[in-house]
Amino acid sequence: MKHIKIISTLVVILLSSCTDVLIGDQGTTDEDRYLNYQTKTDLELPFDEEWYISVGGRTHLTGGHHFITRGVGQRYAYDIGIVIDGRSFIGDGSKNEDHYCFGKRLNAPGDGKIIALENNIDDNYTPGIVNRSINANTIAGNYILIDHLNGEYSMLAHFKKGTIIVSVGDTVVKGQEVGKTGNSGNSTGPHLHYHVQDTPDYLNGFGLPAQFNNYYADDVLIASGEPIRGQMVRKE
Amino acid sequence: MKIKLLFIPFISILFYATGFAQMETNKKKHSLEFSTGYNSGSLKNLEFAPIARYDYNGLVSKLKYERHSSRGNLFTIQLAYLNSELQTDLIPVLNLGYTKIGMRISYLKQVYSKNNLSIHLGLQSHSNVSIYAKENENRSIVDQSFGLGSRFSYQINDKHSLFSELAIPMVLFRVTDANANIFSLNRYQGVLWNIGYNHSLSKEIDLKFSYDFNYDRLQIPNAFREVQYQFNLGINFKF
Repeated sequence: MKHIKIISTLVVILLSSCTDVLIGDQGTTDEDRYLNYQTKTDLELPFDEEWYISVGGRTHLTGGHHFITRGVGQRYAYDIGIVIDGRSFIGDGSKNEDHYCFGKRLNAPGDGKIIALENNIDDNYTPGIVNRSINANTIAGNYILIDHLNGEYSMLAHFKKGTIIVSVGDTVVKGQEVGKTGNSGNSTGPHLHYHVQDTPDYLNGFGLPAQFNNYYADDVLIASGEPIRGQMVRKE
Repeated sequence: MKIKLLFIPFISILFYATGFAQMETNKKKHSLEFSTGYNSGSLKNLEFAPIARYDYNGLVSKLKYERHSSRGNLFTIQLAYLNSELQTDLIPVLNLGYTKIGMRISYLKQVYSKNNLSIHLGLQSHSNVSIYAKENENRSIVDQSFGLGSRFSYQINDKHSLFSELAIPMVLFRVTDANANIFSLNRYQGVLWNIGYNHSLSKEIDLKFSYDFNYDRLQIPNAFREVQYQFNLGINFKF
């Protein structure tokens, strides 16, 4: 009996050490960011009025971008629109203009410098259907990328065609208008896609948690936090 | 309790087999094997979750059909089913259900047979569907790999034999919810190794104990690694 115990203990030790080597430690940085990352940039919600978080949060259920996104910066991305009385559009919603958020003002979420943008991609003609011209290089549609000069980069995507009013090289300040909400790129309806990543490259980097300061979530003032799916949020 | 229940069919079959032990004398061409066992696995899928290592345990069940040709070649098809839960103590909120359904098809040609040792070499196809079950939505990965397979068998005496199988996948086609890609050996490495003991209860029935080691590793930004250790007990019907 004693021998069996010793042998089984040795087998367990052997197998577990093999597993450590075979699985490797890649991903510990991801874990650390998940558990401990504090956003350096002073961020505020990049819109006026009250908006609805349709994707946002740390769980598989709330963070709809978890599944496609490591390496393209979107693990902690938000999709945000406007919902009034449980609906995001008027009428049958078949036109972009039917959607409450379409054409709404979008602001810089923090101070920084515009380092990349696209402003000339047609909005998807019909909500729910992505234009055939969209490919891997244009999935963000019209977008801006802001360098916060601290290793954090904000991407705002799916702007309405031709509405971006800043240029590459411009310095922006928190709250400054940058463009209007649209439905361009890989978007199934007018909304804002927002995420923070750790590189200046277009959809090429690791996503970072984005904590906003001083906002209301379901009418509760949050000094610093991450909105989650299902919350109605607005700036203080 | 589950383990006790598992052994009931084996004990019944053992009695059944003993009764038939002296009835058949011809060499059987077909065999059908059912096995079940304990799986201990670990998974890293950084595309799916920021977890360096999930662990999962559970029962794995397999059903295998094998055909022996008159020249000693082997055609095998095996189905496997595993249902478990991916677990990490570090970020428990990201634990989730995990189901794997696999099918292996191989054709192995006998290249050596002497002094109770036989060696088979050939090709193998391995299909796998991995289902990640979160609260009210599932995500899946479909893998299809092709590679080389081999089997080494050693007949100790009429009743006892040892066997080992080794398969090396050479190319992998992977489809996820986000994309579809083909990986060759420079980015994908895997191995399926199996070793076991076979005890003939009768001309029709064998009892098998085997250990399986499976490993997959993808060198991509969305890093993927998976290792499985399995201890299986099976019953093999020959006809």
